[in-house]
Amino acid sequence: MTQVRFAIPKGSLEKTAANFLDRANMRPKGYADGSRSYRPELDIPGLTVKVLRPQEIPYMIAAGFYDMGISGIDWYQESECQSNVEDVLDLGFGRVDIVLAVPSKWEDVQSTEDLFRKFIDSTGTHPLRIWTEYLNLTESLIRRHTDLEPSLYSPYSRLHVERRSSSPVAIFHSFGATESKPPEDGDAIVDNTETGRTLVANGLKIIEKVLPNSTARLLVNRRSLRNHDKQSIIRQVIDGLATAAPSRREAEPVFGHI
Amino acid sequence: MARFQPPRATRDLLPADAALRKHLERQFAQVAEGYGFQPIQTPAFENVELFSARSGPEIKSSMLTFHCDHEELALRPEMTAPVCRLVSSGALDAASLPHKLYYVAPCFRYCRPGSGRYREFTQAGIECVGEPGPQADAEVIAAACRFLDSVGISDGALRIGNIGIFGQLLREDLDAEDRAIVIGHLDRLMGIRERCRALALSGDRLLLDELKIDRMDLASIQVQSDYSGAEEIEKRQNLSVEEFAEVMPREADATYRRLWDVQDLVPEAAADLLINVSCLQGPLAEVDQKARALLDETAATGALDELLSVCRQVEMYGQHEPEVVLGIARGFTFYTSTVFEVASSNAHGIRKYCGGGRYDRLIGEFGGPSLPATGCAVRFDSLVDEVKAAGTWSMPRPYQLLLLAASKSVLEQTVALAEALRHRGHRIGVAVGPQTQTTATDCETRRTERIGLISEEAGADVVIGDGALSTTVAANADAVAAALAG
Repeated sequence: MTQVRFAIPKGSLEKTAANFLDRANMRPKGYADGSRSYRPELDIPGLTVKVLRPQEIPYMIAAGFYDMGISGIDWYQESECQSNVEDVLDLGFGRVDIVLAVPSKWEDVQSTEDLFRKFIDSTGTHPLRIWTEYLNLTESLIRRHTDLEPSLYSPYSRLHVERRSSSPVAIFHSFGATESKPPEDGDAIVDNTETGRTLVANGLKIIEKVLPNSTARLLVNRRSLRNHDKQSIIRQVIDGLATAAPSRREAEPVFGHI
Repeated sequence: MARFQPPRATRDLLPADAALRKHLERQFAQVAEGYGFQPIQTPAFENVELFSARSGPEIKSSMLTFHCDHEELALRPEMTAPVCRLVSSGALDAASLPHKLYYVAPCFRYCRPGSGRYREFTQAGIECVGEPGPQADAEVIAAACRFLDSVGISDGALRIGNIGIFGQLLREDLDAEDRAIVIGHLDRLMGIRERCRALALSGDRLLLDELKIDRMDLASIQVQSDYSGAEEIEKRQNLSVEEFAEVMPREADATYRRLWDVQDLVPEAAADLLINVSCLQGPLAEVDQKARALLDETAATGALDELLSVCRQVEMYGQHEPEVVLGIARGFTFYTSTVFEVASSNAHGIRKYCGGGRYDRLIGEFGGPSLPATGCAVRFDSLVDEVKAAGTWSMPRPYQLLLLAASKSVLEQTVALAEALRHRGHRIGVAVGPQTQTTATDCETRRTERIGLISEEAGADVVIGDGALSTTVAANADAVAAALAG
């Protein structure tokens, strides 16, 4: 029998995801219940469930290793997999803003334009150093505001060698505690935050919401959606989760009178 | 051969549903025509700019768009812009003002599938162009209420406001964009208040989850605007549902007041007034008194007078007792003064059946003459669902009368009789067979209200029966029609 592979998140989204799945009556046995299982079981014939880090889920679906999964829209966009993976359902939980923040004492920097102006046309000793886990979102932010190719500092794929340049903007690959880098090791960060409290506590202020209101989504591989054998199982999961998804009435645009 | 499905987030309507829709469409047309509105039809698609010109390019992501002949087109998401385009074009006879127009039209949007939302939906609306006075507003409101009444919607409450009041309370030098932002905030505050009220009554889980998302957003505004005060959200955790419903509106008020202050949108004193005014709602006399006390000597009294006169006019129609709700702040970029909605509240919050108001600037903005206009539209699809759920409507059977010719020899006579009856507007079926009334098949019985048997033994008569009763009448159209009527 065809198996549909479903990836659900481990880590920060885990608890809220478990609550959500509970409400949809679809919580797999062994998920977020302290059993540390990575292969919880859900009573839907033909469906196998695996627990993965949310960062990994979008590209694992894009590559076809999974048919569907739950992850944040931030990692979906970061993974640049829109052409292979469809964002099917806004599940509403795990809301964060992906923001660009700088030291709050910089009074001359109130906007992203100010930030680039401060560094790019200046004769400073170092480039504008932006720390982030979201390398792609950050690079496209830079390209939206400037015509520069940033250099990139990451241990992976020799990027720190191959993408090193004399660019006045540099992206530093952060492995956590991003808010701690400025001011001595960095000038700005692109990071996720629920309310911004941690940023404020670390002497930072938000100057742009790079991706506001990122929430958890149900992501499905587009090819799987068209696969005859998988369709009905996928549909069953979508419909099940839809029962617990908030309708987000306020986000709906008003057309004409109503 | 592959089996095809309807496109995502669309649906087929089977006869039972389609018939109910047709019935409601006819009902809408009948009510609108009763007030002298005339039907119009516009193309199902328009140039994208018609919709993006006013709503901004963001609306494109909510529409179904496509390219044809190097033009970018969109399936229409609403009907007011096409109506304004039509009026602006001057195609209607200017001598016959006001133009009173109605439509029941399929519209389209791009939305995520799920939770009962479809990419094709129906807007039914009326627009009255060229009448400036409160009388026209009242007539539009009355027509909308009459229609809702006529289809058995009884839980809808009529709420009337006037957006001009807020317009007058904002700083004069505030530009249009900032005005819209503040009005948007007021609308949000109103929504939070209403949903919290519903939450307090129902304790509904889904509603609570939705509000939690909103509250988190408020918390983040508080942090970014450096709010510290009695309503600090992060200091209040683990609330019970009752506490949540009680504190959240206060937190929201405090949050936006702080934001207005930091962003220099609304001065402190005006913020008090804005929020106090937006909280006012109730019966006409009561709200009038309180509002006058608050608005005395402000420029907003004119808008308040206008609101009163619309409400008084509406009362003359003797249908709904309007509730005055000053906090209705919908669509500020669209409406200019009177705004109204018919809504019901249930466990999940507010459910809007109908909304509308006066839009005196819109036709001019579409390049037409400066004409006052007022109108409204009905959420036709929710209405259909509502009527269906109420079970007050049942689909008529296909035939009023199924004529059974007992043998081939009477078939010609049977067909002729059926045609004569159809000519008179009856729904008639014909079948041949050796049946009697009691041996008519189940399938046949289900398709008709009554069965008429024409047999040679009965001579030229029809035996008409429904269940136990049966009568014999002469087999001519007059006699059978009389029997059907009786």
